[in-house]
Amino acid sequence: MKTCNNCRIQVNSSREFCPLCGQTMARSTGEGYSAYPKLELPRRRFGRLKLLLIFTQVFLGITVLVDGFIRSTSYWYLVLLAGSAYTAVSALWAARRKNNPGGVILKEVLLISALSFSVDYFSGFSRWSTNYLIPLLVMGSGAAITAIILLRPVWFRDYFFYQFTLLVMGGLCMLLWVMGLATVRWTAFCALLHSLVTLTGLMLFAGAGTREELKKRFHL
Amino acid sequence: MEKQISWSRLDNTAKLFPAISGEHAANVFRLWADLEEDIHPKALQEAVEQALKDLPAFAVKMRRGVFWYYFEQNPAKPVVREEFCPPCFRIELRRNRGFLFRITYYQRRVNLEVFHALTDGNGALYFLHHILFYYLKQVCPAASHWEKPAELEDVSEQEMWEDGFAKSDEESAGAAGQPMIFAPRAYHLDGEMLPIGAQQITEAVFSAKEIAGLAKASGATVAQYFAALLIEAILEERCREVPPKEKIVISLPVNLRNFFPSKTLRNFFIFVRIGVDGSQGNPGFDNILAQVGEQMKGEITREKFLARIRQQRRLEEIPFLRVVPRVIKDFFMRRTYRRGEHTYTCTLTNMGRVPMPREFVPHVKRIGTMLGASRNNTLKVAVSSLGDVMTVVFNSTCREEDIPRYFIRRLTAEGLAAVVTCNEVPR
Repeated sequence: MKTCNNCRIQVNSSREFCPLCGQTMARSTGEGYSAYPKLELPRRRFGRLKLLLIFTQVFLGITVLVDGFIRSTSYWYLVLLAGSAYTAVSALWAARRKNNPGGVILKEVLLISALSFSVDYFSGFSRWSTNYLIPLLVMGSGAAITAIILLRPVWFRDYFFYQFTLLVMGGLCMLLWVMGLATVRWTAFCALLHSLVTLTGLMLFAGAGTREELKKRFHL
Repeated sequence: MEKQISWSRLDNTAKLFPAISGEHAANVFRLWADLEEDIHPKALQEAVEQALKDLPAFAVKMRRGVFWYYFEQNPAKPVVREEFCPPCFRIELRRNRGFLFRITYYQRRVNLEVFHALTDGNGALYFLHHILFYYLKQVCPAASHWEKPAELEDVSEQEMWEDGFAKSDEESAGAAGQPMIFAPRAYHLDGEMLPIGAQQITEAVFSAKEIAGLAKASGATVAQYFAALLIEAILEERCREVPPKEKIVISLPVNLRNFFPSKTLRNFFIFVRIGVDGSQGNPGFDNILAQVGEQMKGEITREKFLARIRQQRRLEEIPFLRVVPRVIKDFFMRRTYRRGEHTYTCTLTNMGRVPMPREFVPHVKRIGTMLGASRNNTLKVAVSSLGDVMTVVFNSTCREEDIPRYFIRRLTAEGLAAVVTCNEVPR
């Protein structure tokens, strides 16, 4: 315990200077103890993100340079850039959310669908995304989530919501076909049917838990 | 046997915290107890697990719904650790097994840090009492035969989960809510910012009797006296040369359990703003104290609180707002909150005399509390007392020590003895 005669306080510390006024303190009697450990701030996890951003920027620079040399008329390098930026961000995100693979799968499906639709749309819209990629992604992710539930039944309640979202996406595939944005019927139909069957199976498996889960997730 | 509650909505105040919290504003507060002996980690771990069995309202994790967040039972066990991060540091839910509180210890001190969405100071104190009961029962030979004190037995599971705002709002059915008006901007405290997540802590210990005597001699309560002293400190240290255009506004959280019958362990408090005009310079301590006293008497009334609760609940009940997806709600809540943050200068919370079961008294030396400061509200002051020991804690996200220095020196100049403890701020 030390004393600052300037502030007329006792200071519970081993430091030499008063924490309030900065004057040298006098040693005084009396037991003192440290109430706060000397700590460093937890490290911020921006290192890898920064590295990936630098990598993406370098990649953009190289592609623009190559584009300048070959004098291409299409914006192929933008597709490459979007793809590499997406891969970098989603890899980081997936690493942080490794305890929730269902959430990672769902987010990946949504992002890849949006990205592929944009690329397809701005490169002549030959409908490869809406005809095949998006419906197959919905089916594949539905199967992956079902497999996770079978392996880890504890997560069943959490994953019900993801399956429900995939059903909405299956419906969206069908809507794309109805609106003429997709021309292949069987893939859209299979995506909807697959998500519908999986969700119904889950609801039967869950029984009364389904209503409770829906109530929690959708309470107003 | 009562049916265990598996999930719960967030209370009216708690709805705000998940939306507005982040690196710059953790919205974490700390309660601590200084014991007579060094802490035994294993006994503390055991005590926390026992306490959670009694208080399932704390054994929850926060989940994202489509329209609102909600609490769900958390089957995991929390991990007690030696203090490893700065006080009131953000609780990273994924790294904390989903729990919205953190228990750490350092030498003789047990720290309970809580994310404000879970509970307020009153609820956290009840939890800390349970932890201390089970801890002392293990480590003190004299306490091994203790029965649970009556104070820790009187809340049923239904009562602990209860939404105090909804309950008191039922009383106000038909009453007009206070109109939604944004208060004008208040004077803002700035300075050299500390690294993100760091807090400058200045803890001062006084005699509670002497402080109460000082306040009484001025015809004020301790809360009024401290609020006036804080305003004077800001005026003297920051506004002596250039008087502020805006008012110095102190935000005071008020425990609503003192006004409405509720034993809830969730948030049940409301903020009251007390402002003093310093545009003509420091009006003098007596004048400030008179203004503070008058405003507090006018603002801290049951009727005013009922109108405020009605207003807050009315906003929550608007059908259009209820069906807006959570992500969009979060965005607008953040924007509104940021605007609200500029309407007060700093926060002062007074827990008053902390109730302590009689059996604990010989083993607990001191109880204290602190509120995490944020980048926009850089100073938060918390007061609590146990027996004759009053602890005043200043949390700041700035390096400047001028306001705590003025505050403490002003009290020592009155002849009061003060023992000050500070943390070492990480670089």
